[in-house]
Amino acid sequence: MIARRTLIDLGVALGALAAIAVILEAWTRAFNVPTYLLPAPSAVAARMATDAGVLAREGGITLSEAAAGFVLGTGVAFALATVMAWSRPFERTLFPLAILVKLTPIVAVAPLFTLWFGFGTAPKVAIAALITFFPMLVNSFVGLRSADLQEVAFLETLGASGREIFRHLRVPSALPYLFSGARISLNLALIGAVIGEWTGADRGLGRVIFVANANLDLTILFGAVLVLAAIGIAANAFVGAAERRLLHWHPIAVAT
Amino acid sequence: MRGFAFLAAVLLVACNAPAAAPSLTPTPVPTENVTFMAGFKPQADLPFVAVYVAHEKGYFRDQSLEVEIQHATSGEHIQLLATNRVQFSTGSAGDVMKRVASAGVPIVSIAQIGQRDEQSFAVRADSPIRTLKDWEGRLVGYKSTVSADYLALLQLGGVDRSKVREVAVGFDPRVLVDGRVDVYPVFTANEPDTLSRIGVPVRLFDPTTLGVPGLGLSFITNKQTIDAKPDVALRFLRAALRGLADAIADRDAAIDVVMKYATGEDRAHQRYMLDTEIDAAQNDLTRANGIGAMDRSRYVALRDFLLQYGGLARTVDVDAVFTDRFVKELYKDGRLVWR
Repeated sequence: MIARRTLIDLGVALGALAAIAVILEAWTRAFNVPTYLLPAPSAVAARMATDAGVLAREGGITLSEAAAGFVLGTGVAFALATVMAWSRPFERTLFPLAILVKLTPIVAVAPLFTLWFGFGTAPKVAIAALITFFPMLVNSFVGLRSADLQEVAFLETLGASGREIFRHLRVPSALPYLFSGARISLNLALIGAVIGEWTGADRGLGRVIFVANANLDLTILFGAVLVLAAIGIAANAFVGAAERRLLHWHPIAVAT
Repeated sequence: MRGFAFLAAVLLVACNAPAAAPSLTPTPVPTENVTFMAGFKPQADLPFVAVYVAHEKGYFRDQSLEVEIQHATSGEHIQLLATNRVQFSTGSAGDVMKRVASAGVPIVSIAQIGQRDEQSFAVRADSPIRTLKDWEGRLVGYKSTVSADYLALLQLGGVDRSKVREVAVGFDPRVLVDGRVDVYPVFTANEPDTLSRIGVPVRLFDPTTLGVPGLGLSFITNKQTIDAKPDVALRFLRAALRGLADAIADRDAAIDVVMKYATGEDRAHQRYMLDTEIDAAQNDLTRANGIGAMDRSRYVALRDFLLQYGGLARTVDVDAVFTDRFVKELYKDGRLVWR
């Protein structure tokens, strides 16, 4: 049932994409739009086929940076959310700091990450981690606090320890929120990795996009953006599948 | 008989005098609205200063032009120029060639302001790196892509590229301060002063001094303006070059104007930028023909150099990327003719 629905969803999405591509193709041909303003989808597709190896290699690098940043950012966020959910004083102390992190323009601080962490992968991972941090923190915190108070009281009357309540009640209650945070954070991690690559990198899709923009080479630019989108869609599908598997008992698993 | 004919001619001219009178009072030129988009943020890049000063002093209005000044943030000025949403902008001669060669963008340089390469390679003043050969075994940065200038310098210095560690360093020169990189690419009029102000003076490897045929910023327009409204291009350039002459004559006053646009910038740094770019705008060619003068042979040399070192994807007709017809018309004996 779920597999059939997924196939239908995929078909609808691909149909919509194909329709947009056909409209753009007709538009660019009818009005003879120069490639440096808007390349025809067929030109983008041809370029993607020609440079498939390059796009796959650079996409793999961006994906690895984003994945590392995602794990780091969401891991730290979950740990802090746990502390905040446990203790009101910690909540009052940490939440303003988390908002400060959230409001810091990533583009402004990204060059500093190169100064602090050097060239290579580390600054990109750090930026991806920073950008994924806040959504996961908020979702984890709200999720951990969402456990039914009557159920908590019931477990306490049975003599369950705080750790047992956390493990057997709070975390399962928080799972829908955690998956929601993961969906948001995964895409943000990709954006973070790309921003990191803009500020000084010799690899990755962000660099491909940066150089293509400087050279007005829009076919490869859109090719790289499409690869990035494909990675994002695949990552979301992966999280969706994990969510359905782990939350098969929850109404949200039916809805997604 | 000959005297009669002369008298008749005089009478004829005299009789026609009222009809000819309007030619003595020029027909007012209708005001044209144009947009100038500087190729970067507001700062004392010399072509920007020229436009700021011309605008401030009303030179554009005198030329029946209403000029809106905009600034690009990420290279969008080229596309806007190509689609005629912007009529005038700035770009280095090499960049114009690249855009024409790679994408066929219909843009043309109409006045060459920077007469030398605008980029150099900086090392800390206390660095043991003294010669190009010393780059071997060092970490050398590039901003976004390895440039033709860099490859030319390696060849000129006899440097074995396999012994140089190259790294993309982005646009923050502080990586040179903390020693994360040994050689850092700079805009000669910009980062050396920034670094000096934070206590890190630098020495420069200047491609132009070392024989690389580079050119700096030029005023650029699109083919549509050149073909359909060449008088507008001429009037824009006349006003801008007068503003530029004023800026050279009174640099403090020019910086006063710059600071109206470049709010929040450091005035002394803007002055450094202006002084450096004024120096780079003058050479024997401009002393003879005026600031902004163009020499076809230098464009040919630049194109051939870029082709040799991979800076151009394919060759380009230099006559399609620059025209000196306007600057030639505007100057007489090296002096700008104002009318």
